[in-house]
Amino acid sequence: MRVLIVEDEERLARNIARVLKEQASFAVDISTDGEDGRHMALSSPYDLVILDLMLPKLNGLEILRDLRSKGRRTPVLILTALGKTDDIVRGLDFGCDDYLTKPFDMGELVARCKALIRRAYDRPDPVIAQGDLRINTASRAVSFRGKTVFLPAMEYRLLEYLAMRAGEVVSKTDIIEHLYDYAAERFSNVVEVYVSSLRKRFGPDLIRTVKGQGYILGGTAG
Amino acid sequence: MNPLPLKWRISLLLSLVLLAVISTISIVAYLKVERSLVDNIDQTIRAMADAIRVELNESKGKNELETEVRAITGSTKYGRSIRYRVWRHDQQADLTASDPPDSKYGLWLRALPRDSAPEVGRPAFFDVGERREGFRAIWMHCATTQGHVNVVVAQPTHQVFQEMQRFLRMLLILGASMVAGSAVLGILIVLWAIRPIGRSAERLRRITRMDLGSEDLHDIRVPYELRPFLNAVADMLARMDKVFQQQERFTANASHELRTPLALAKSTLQATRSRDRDLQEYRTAIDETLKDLDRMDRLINQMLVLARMDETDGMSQVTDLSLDGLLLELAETFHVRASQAGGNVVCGNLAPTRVRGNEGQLVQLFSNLLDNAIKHGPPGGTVRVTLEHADRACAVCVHDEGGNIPAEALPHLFERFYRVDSSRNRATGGAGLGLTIAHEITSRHGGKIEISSSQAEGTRVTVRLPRLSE
Repeated sequence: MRVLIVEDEERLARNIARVLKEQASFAVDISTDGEDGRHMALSSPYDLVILDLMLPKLNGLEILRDLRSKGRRTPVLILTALGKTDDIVRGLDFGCDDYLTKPFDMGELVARCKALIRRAYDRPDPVIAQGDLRINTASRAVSFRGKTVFLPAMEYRLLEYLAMRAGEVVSKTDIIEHLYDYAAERFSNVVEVYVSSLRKRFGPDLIRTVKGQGYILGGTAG
Repeated sequence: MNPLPLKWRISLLLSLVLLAVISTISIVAYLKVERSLVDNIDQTIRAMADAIRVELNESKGKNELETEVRAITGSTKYGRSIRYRVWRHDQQADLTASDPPDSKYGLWLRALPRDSAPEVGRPAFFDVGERREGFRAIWMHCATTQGHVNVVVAQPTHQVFQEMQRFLRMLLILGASMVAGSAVLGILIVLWAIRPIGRSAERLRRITRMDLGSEDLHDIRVPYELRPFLNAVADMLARMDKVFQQQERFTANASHELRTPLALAKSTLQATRSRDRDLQEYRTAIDETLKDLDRMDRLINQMLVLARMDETDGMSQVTDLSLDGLLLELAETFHVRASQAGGNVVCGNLAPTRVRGNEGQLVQLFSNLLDNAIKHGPPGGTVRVTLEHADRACAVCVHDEGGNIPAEALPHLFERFYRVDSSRNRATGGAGLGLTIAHEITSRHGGKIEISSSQAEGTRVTVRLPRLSE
């Protein structure tokens, strides 16, 4: 899952990014001004945008309006110090999905982010079960045949993303775009490496390769 | 004390005025009518007396005369109510009389004083007795063929009295009903006239905070005379709206400014606390949090300074002080700070100047300006302070080499929470209150503050203050 934070207080953005990486295994990009933020939000397929309203160069609501008018359904969580009902109503009217006022609780922010992403993937249940595999996306606990499995962060990220789209063929490009932020180094065969690692843990049939198209977790296609 | 309602006052006033007018008219009419009734009687008794005199001239016998006089004085209208007495001027005995000498009327007819007899040809009229049983009488002294004869004819006035009573009753009823009518009319007029006020009040009651600004009250139909009042109310609403908006903007800005560092501190602590970190990370987190707390502390102090200045209009603790000395001291203090970043603060010409003012506030004013100059000037740049005389004023100039304030921002620099960069990013610290405070302090000291900025010239803040003569 990949998240964009548009927030002009750089330290705040870094703190959020850190927590999202550590506690949710998200890939996180940060933008500290409005124009840059809009560009990033439009150019990459983010799973969630965390948006401040008072931004240099471009107001957060303008970014939100641009996103929506261009048909982007990316969940947007507005994070601002404007705490009046009017502001909240305005944000929601502009098409944001959730709202937190500063100062906020990190735990709440993370929980809301996860909930928004689950909703976007139409998976209201935080637990995704696929054969013998159970993934709790809220606590990031993975169990296989009743036994808890501890996964490295990147492997969990990949597994969670495939599980969210279980039954669908997911292209390699999609995977890379949702697993890595801009700062990460990308290797072309990295997906294969993680997929083979996951196959070792959970058996060869859990994730199948669809020739020339990508990967599929569960489902019957193939 | 509650004053009498307007309707009662107007109604009372109207009634009183009408009462006075009606009373005057009634009294005049009453007197006139009474006069004319009496005149009427006078004419009647005069005619009777004249007729008696004619009879006397014809020298008739006593009985004949008596019959004639009875005929003259007896009328179909008044019956035998007319009293008379005819006697020779030099005798007591009557030629003829309506009443025997010993009867009640006979007594007062004979009690007329002899000396007061009028002259010949100039009969006298007079009133006798109380009103209810009174008489109007004529006493005619005439020279006849039988010698000087006195004729007294008296007609009872109770008829007049009754007429006048009736007339008075009519006047009272008429007057009272007019006064009462006017009282009711007064109340109705007032109620009718203030109806638009009631309508307006009803409308004003429905105005809420939300439509203060959009309310011009022009759709309320009121008489021409009330329009200025409603316009004044509409103006007041507009002013209130402005004040509310300012207040709301201030609150929104203040909460934003306070919440941002709070959010920073909280997020830092929570992010650090979420798992075990090494010592260095804890140190960094604590340092960053302390910086956030400092920022909040500064902001709260600035807001308190502003609030305190808002509370009091005048200045307290005013002393005569040396402005050049104050500036020199401040420049040295700020030079130490600037030199840490390789910059410096220098004093140009500081003319010896004494001003009257609050020292604490003036220190705050120039500290804010120097602080801004160091922050917004280029790193390692020079901040220059000068103090010059101009007529009765002095001008303090704080100049830095920045000059990056856009022209469209210049008019807004003194607004609360205004920042050139709309992001409100705190890279340079400050919440946009420093110049507001500077402006407030300057105007409290009867001075003016202005800012000019250009790439070529840098930024120059000039504070003009009235100075004390040497």
